Amino acid sequence: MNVLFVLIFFVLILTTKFVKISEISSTVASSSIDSNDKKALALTLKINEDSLSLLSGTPSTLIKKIPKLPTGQYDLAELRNLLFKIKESNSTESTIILHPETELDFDQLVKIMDHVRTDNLFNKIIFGGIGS
Amino acid sequence: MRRKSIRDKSHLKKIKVSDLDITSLIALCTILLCFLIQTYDVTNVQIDIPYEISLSKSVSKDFHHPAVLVQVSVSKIWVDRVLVLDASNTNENFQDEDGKRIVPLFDELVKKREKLLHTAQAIPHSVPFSGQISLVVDRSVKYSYLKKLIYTASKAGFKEYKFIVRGQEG
Repeated sequence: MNVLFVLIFFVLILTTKFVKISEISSTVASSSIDSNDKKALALTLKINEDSLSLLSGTPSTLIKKIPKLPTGQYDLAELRNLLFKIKESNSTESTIILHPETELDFDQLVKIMDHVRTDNLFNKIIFGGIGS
Repeated sequence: MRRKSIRDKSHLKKIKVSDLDITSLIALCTILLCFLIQTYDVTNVQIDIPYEISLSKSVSKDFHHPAVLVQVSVSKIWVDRVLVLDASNTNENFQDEDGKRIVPLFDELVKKREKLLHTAQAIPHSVPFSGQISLVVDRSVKYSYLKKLIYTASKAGFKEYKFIVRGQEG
């Protein structure tokens, strides 16, 4: 009877789930960030309806365009590989400008931000084109 | 009939004290202790999430820092738990600047900023106004709407924002 009671208690606790609240920090793009620091990488990720485009520099030049997978999902693994390569040659850079140009759900946006931020890749996210 | 004397306690049966088995109680306490240690959260931050809002999951492990709380569902906006806009219940145009700025949100955030600035000036050694805002956004909200929220917040003086998401569950 005692063992049964402990087991029930143990299963109840094991199946309890608590929601942990986390946050993703971001800032609004200011003109000073874009224009003053000419040596900055100015890494920009444009999110289009059918692809992801990674650009750098001012004026921006295209590094690579990553088309969507046949399943209709963004190829986030390919994006991460590319970001790792860029990070290797720009280890001090941590800023990326996100520029969604399509009607994304917030959920999709969070997934993209997760892939861009984790493992200390580019954890300072700035949203571009907010005033446009 | 003979009445029993109060002093005569011979009629009371002596209860035999048996050994109390607390093995299961110790086991329960141990499990409970492990559970509490595992789920202990040092931040001690609580956020009320309205039932209209479903949070996005994220791998982010950054702790939440208290700031002005803006909760956004598909049709409603709350600022510090006070409803400022119910788009499903109004026919008025609540946007201006070519639909980029949400007026009720802007007005409320300006009030909040002024209150925070006033508090920072009135109380010596208080934390200065940081311009930070916490955005609790429903996972189905579209980017075009999110853009308006960010634009409105930045116009009201809140240029740093933090998206509140569901971290990994324990």
